[in-house]
Amino acid sequence: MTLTTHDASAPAGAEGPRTGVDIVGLRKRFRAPDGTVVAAVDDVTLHLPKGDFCVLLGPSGCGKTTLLRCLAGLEHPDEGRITIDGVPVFGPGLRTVEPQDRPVGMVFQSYALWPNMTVADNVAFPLTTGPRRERMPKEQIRARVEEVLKIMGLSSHGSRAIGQLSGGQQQRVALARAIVAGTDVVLFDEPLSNIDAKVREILRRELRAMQQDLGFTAVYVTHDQAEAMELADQITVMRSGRVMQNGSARDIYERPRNRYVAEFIGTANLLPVTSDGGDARLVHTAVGPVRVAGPAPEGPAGAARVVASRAHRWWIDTAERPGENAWPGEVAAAVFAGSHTEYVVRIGETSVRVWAADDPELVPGRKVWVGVDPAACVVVLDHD
Amino acid sequence: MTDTLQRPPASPAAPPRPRRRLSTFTLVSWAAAAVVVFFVVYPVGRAFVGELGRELPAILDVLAGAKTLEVIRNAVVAVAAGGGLAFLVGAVLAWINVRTDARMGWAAEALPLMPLFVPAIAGSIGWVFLASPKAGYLNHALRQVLALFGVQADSGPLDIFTWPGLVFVYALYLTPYAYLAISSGLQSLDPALEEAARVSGCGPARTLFRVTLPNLKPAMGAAVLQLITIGFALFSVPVVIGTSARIEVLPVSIVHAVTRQYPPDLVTALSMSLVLIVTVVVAWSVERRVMARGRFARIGGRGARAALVTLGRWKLPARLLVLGYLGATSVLPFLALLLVSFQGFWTPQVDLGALTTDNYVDLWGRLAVRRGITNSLLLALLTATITTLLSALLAYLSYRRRSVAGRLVDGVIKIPAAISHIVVGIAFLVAFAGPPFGWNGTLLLLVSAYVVIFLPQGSFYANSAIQQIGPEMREAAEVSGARDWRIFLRVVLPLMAPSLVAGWSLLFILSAGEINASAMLAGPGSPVVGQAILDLWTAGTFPLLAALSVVITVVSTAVVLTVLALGGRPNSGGAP
Repeated sequence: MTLTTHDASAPAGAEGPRTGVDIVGLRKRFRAPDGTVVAAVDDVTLHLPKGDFCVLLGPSGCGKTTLLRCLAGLEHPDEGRITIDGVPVFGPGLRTVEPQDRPVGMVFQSYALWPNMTVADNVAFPLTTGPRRERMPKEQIRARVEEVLKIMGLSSHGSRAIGQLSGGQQQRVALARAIVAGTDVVLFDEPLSNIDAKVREILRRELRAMQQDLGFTAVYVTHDQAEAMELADQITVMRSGRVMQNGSARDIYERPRNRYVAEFIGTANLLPVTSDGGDARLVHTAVGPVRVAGPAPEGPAGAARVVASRAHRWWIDTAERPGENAWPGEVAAAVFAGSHTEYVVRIGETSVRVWAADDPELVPGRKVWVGVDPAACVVVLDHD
Repeated sequence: MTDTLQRPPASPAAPPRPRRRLSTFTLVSWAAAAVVVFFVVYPVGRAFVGELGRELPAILDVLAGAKTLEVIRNAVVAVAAGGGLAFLVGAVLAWINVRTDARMGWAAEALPLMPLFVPAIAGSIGWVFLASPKAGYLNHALRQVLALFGVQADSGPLDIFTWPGLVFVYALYLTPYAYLAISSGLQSLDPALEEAARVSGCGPARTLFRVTLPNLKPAMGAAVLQLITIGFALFSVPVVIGTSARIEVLPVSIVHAVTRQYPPDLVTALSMSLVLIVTVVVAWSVERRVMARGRFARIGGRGARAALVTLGRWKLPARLLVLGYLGATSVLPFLALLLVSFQGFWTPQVDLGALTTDNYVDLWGRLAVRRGITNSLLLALLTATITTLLSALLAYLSYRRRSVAGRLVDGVIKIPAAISHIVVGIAFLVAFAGPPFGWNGTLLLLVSAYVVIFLPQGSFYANSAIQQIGPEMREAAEVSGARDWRIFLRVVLPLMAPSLVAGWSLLFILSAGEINASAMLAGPGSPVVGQAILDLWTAGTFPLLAALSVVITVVSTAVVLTVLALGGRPNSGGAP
């Protein structure tokens, strides 16, 4: 697992040919109907390593889809540089490479399978687009399409019409079309967002297995953090066109850089830091001193910080359990969620959420003790 | 690892090839756009700026003349009464067919097309055959019924050659335009809006007045606009019925100024055409004002069908109304034409033994008529095909690149919708009939005028088709490595096809029976059916014109039904 935000800031190509996708200082602005200018992609620098499953994650409107469309060539950025598998496709002084000529495949949100063609015709299409004399012979195209359909488990479906396929089969056809030309980078624009939750889980696993078998670089846009966690080698969390954090699922979950990332992924308790304690692993908050796993990530001097901890790393007890990182409180609400119960506990003026096994004694108003493992407490920046 | 995918030998997505800045596709489509802009802007500019601009004082003389004011007043009355009636009938029919259980699937589809199968000029004459005071078939039948009650008369009770008769036929031929606009508005109105009103405690009537109708304002505005634009330029109905009723209406005066005088009185015709243009421009700007003020539901959720209103014992009357309309616009006039076409002369005393096919034989013997039929069919074929392909190309062009130029082309295409057929006809006459073009009496003049006239309709079908496709279909082809021609021919055009076929059929029927522009542009060198019917009408050769009307109706209906049956099927992907 590579965390590569730092080295991507070096100019692409400066250290010899790089593989994967390199994005440097990319900006794309839109003019809204009311005349205001919105930066959909705002100074994004990012390296997506070859063969990795890279997820662009963020709420709707964060610019992740615009970034993906810039990679495909469907949007033209205002400034910056894009290099795909060592080939510069966008940059200053460079004629922008049109989508037709970029070494990428793409799976669209609606799949965009052409209903006027059969499954096999859809998959064969990318092989039949170049000038006639450069195309492979018909026989070879047919063999290639059969090969790809076989991998996708669609061998017997080649002559079917698109309308006759299930949602899952359509996704596999769309993926087949995206990889048939042998491109190493496949872009995914929220391909699972229109599918039932149960089917979505199955397709997700299928997609991940397929990507690992075939070894292409996947760039996958989603707003669903569970989907991102399950699929990704590398997650890029975006907000308002900017990269908030880039790293493995574990990095993002356990060591969020700032409050936004901590809140966007999973359920976090956030306690604002009022002052530093004696050493790097002790800070003061509204509920008193909190022992934490390590120092805050680097940020501007005097930047506001908060202590972030996951709700399931907290404990709750009816017995008195004073000690480090433990506080007396009162249950304010209990919400049964099946696998666990979420207890909202008031510690003075502060509320924390605790995920614990269901306990019928813990009714609202009940005096309790709550606490959290110091190893689960990280200090993060309050603002990006 | 299971199957490992090997790289194909020749990777089409290898390093980018250098690419010319202007592809042939871009060049061809911009050339097409330029030609269209030329054929729209040049004739109108030459006629109204070049020709009429030099005659400013004469314009005032014409416009202030007593006769001009009279024909304008007549046009206003005919359009207000006929259009108002058409609006009411069209709205009721649309509501019945879209929102009630009296809907009949095929009738909803056929209703807007049915009146077009019989060319309007022939249909108007059909109504003369039905309801002229002495010899009308309907009058004859009614008199026989009345005779049973002891009422004797030798004329009436109906008289088509009166104001009510004229207004009635105006309404018949304007209703489809109101119907189309309002029914498409109703169809795209999200049923949930009405359901929300019902759940909030509104009864069906309150829902209709408080939710449905207010949200239909844009559709109703569009309907009124269409009625005004088409109604003021309607030529076929007033030339047949108005002339006999001694009610002269504006478009008839314009055409007669050109065709009944030698040399043609262009100044009078152009000055009167200005009235048509001003009327439409005023109507458009009023509509825009009204529409800009309110907020309306625009596009609704597809798929969910509204629960149909149960009409109960009103279901049968509602259905009879729909069938009655279809009968009045096409079935009855066509039957009247059919009957006259087999008679030696037009008479309400039908003697089955005396029916004859002589008229058809006679028709075939007349060279000019025969050439008219072949010309009209050829023109219809060319016009429908050129217009459809052109509008598909332009729709794709302006949709693919949301540029200023694209919007400009889009706007120019819509100009002919605002200036009526009559105006296009006279503008083409001024611009192309004489030097330097000298196209007078050629099919080229007619075909170019027809294409310009029908471009707005063609574009309407092409734009709605391309909007249904959605951008991802095209983007997927781009990412797959396809270039302009291939994207257009393999992906966009096939997906547009069903809609384009429907548009082609409409354009075919409309061009086959075109009379508004043809009345001025079709000379002896290029006879067309509409003009031939009008000539035979003026000469009083009724059985022959009936036979001609029957022939053109049957042939163009057959062509359109065949095309729709072959090409209108939904895409199945070819296999299995």
